[in-house]
Amino acid sequence: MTILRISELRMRLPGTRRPVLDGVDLTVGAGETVALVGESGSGKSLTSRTVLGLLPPGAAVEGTVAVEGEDVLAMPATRLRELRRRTVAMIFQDPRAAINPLRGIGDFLAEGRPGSQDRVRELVSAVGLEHRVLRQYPHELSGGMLQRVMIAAALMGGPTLLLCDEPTTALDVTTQAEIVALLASLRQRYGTGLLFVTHDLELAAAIADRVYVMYAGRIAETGPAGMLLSRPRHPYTAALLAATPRVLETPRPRLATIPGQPPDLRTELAGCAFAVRCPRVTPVCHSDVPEPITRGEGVVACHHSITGGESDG
Amino acid sequence: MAEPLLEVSALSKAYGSLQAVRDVSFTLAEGGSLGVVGESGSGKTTTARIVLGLEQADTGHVTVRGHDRSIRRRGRAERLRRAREVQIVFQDPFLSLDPRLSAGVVLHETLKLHFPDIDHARRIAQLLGQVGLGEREAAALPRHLSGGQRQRVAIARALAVEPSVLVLDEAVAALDVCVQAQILNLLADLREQTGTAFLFITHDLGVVSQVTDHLVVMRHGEIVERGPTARVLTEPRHAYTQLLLASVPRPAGIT
Repeated sequence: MTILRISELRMRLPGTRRPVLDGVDLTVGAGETVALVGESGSGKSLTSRTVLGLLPPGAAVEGTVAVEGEDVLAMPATRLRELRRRTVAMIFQDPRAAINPLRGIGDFLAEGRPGSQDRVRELVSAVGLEHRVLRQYPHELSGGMLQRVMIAAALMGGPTLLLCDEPTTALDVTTQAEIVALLASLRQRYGTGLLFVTHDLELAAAIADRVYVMYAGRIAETGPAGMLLSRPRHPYTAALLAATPRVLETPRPRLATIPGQPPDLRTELAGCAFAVRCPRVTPVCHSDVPEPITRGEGVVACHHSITGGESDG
Repeated sequence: MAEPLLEVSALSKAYGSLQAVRDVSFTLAEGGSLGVVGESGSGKTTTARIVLGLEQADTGHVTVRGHDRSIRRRGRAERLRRAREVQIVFQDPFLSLDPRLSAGVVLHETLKLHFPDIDHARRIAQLLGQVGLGEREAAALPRHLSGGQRQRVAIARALAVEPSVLVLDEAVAALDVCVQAQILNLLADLREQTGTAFLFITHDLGVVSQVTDHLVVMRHGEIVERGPTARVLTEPRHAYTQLLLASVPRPAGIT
């Protein structure tokens, strides 16, 4: 069963010349972990926020964002409130910015849900915290502990879909590993679907079943996590992998870089968004938008996708 | 081995009851690159700030080419000389650059202070060329530049005084991976061209592997492991270094 189906999602913002989201297609199955990877400005956070019906001011939206078959973009306010309360929950990057510092943790978790003390205790244990945190305040907890509190809070409504927007970026690497392991175990236990938004392709591949790579508001490539990393089909995915510094016995003298920057929102795009930076570019790339093509288990939107699959990395 | 360029010996610093840095010693060779790795609260940034002179150590010494930087000095000439010993690039150039000054003006101010007698226009053009910025970027205010470009301005500003040691405190942590790769390559080029030694403060083991020769691993204010970068990362001896390496996300089936 599919719990999230985003189809042909297009979003325009005032004062821009190209759509900030341009035909995004994405699905998350029940209990599935899907990662959405992209750099700053690629539209990955905007995409995940539309699932909660959170749109930037003045945004003009086309397409559908269906949660359990119901289009979020067409929901009345009361229905949307129910959705946010029960079906879909979100965890943000900085837990300290998302919690009221003046309220105790126990108070925060039970907010708006009278008689939920047993559920609060169960979830606090499930995220690996002791019950004494219920009597503590946010400033008494570390960033990693606070992120565990946020995860417990997100699970309070028993959501079928959990949106995680860079949930480990502000954390230390050992804490990140703990939170990632926690999310994986909670998925097993509660069967929650996970949409994991991150800039880190390797983290995405480590946590997710499937990965979507986003560039300039479009899905460049999607496929099973392992395949995407070992055999990227889109030149952008390959370039991202080559540019990532890794722990190596004999480091490369220089990292592979791609010239230029992602396209500005103030310029229109005629063809492929990556064309001006792409090593495989031909004239057709500048004139025609590449259609998504199924390649093996994945889908790639490129006129000259890497065949055979061996990356240079 | 020749006399080290930077010598940090037995540094300790406490904030109230919190021992931020405890008995930290390391050396950095001429033109070398040393990584200081640790998590939040490991004392790595406090160490960097002491090396720079932004904090005073409770005990211990920092010397550059034999000059002791740990003693407080007030004279203008001495302050300028010390500034030419060590410079820093911070994590967030948006916070560390003056929002009212363009790159060109920042460099001009810096050069006027340190080298009043040289041809500033030529040196500014040279510095901007070294960090890969053009005329448009030189005239733009920080808010009109991208994160990568701002970090290039911060690097050019630090290099303007021809420092012996450049401290990079999480200098690439806030950048997208493609921009990060460009800046890391730029730093490697600059190290070859100028012979400036690097002190890399970071939590990212991939970055350390890419740009440093030697490495110290800090935890709770102390150094727990040290050695050549390749050795520490491939045969970690301390349990904490092993934990750090095990925490780097690695998808199943990929080595």
